[in-house]
Amino acid sequence: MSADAPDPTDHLRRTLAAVAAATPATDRRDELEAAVDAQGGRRVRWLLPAVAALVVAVLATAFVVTRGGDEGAEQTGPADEGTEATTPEEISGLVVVGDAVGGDLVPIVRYRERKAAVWLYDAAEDRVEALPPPIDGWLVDATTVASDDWVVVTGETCPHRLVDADTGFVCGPEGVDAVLVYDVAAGRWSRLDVPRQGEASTPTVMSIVGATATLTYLPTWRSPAVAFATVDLAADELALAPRDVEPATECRRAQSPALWFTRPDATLAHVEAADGTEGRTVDLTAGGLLGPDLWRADPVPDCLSARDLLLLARHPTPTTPSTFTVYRLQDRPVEVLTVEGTADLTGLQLVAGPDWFATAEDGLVVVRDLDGTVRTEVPHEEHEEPIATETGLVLARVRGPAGVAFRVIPLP
Amino acid sequence: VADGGAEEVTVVAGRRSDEAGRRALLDLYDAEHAAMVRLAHLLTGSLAVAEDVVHDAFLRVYDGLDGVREPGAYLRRTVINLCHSQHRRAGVERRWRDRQPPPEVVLPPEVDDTWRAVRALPARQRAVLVLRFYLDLKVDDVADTLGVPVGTVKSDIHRGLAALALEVER
Repeated sequence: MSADAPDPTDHLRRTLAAVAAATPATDRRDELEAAVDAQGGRRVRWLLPAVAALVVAVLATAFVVTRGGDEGAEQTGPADEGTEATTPEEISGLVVVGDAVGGDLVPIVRYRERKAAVWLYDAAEDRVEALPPPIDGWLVDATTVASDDWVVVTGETCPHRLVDADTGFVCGPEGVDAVLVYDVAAGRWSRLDVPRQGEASTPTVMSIVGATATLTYLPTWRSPAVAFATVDLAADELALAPRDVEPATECRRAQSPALWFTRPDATLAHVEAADGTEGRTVDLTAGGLLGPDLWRADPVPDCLSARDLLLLARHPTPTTPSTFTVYRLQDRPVEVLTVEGTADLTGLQLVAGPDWFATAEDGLVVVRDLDGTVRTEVPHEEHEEPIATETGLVLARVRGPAGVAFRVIPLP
Repeated sequence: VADGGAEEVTVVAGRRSDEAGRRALLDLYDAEHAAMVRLAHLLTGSLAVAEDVVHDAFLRVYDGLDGVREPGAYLRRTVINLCHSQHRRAGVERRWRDRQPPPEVVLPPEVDDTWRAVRALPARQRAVLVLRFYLDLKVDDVADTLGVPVGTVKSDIHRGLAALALEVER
């Protein structure tokens, strides 16, 4: 830097102050009040139905149900077996909409502020079923994936509704990381508690292939490598089997069922197909598509995956526009498509069906054949999440207290 | 635990009433909301994400305000943690709220260019610079807040400023 150049520290301070000063803060006080009222009133609203449910439960089963925590009687425990038809509008609370893996069932999990609950949206039937509660408690950091046979939910489970004074959003010492598995045919939940591994995060379910679920531990700042483990969902007793892989870098926002990871120098990718075929390793340097500097680039590109597609999104620099490139990784990497000039890659998403893939960007969802030919385009509403099902593309939008809205996009 | 009866007020032993807690939360909202949105905007680079994070933060601290001596600091810590969590888990947890998108942030060209460069920094680098040069936290406090070693913070400051210096020279 020359002697006359401005001090970057001062310049940064001025920039941050100017951005902060120009940042408008939309008043959402009404929304906050409504949410708080909903939390407070819930205790009373649920009281009578809960008492009635308790009486019925006692008469029917002669079991005595005891409860803990400060929530009063809100939900029945996992004693309720079987599913219950409902509507998307009846889904309430803060929810996660997960991925459908090789089927039409889209899992929806409620977590945090209210007790854990799970629903399944069937894209083929356009209907929602409520599953029995996976636990009698709360979930934090829930993730979920469903195949036609299994629903897998991961998260930190809390027997009581606790708030940690330092972080404000963990269960506290009573929190236990768990893998919750629902057998669709049998209609019952199983649970596997997972010991916390040092600084590792709560496990995230990424895929289900056959009766095997693959979990990842997302990187943390103190533990930058991704760790993997599998669970045999059909086993009599669930167990976690660590995957022996090299330290890896996971594609951010990876979509199941495909799973990608690379060596730290980003020269290899490992691909697991949705059809249960053996995973294979792809040399990303073949054909000069990717180089070892990928993950050292500044800014680091975003990496997304779906089935055997790999999308790399390069953020803009002061001199170059943002771009994203989709690769189809088969025997050899094949470049499918490059799009330049995308304004904002923050919300870029990728999903893939059997013979199509879709990107959501800039208010538009573009569905393409695997050779890159555009098949259809549909408007993409804010916060709408694309999900690939066997029936076709589904767009899910959580509407807070108003439930979840699903749109099934027909593919010509 | 007493049920609320007709007044819909539930008092749990050791906790303030719903109404008192609600009032404390809304007072905190009035005092801190705008500042927290500004901070979250700087940390995440996205105003839309910032608004969601801050809204989520207020809901989270609602149950934790009892016994907290400095609610503002508690809230700020929660916002910073959520921004970190949002980055780490973006796309894994899918949350949406039914509302209008926030208005655009209009900046002077010279600020806009640098801000674009700041947004392009890796998330942790950006967070380090924001905590150090916007909140004026000491390096030790930045390290403590983000849960990283002091050396990492110093390295991030060095690298981040170097990247921005290149931008300033252009």
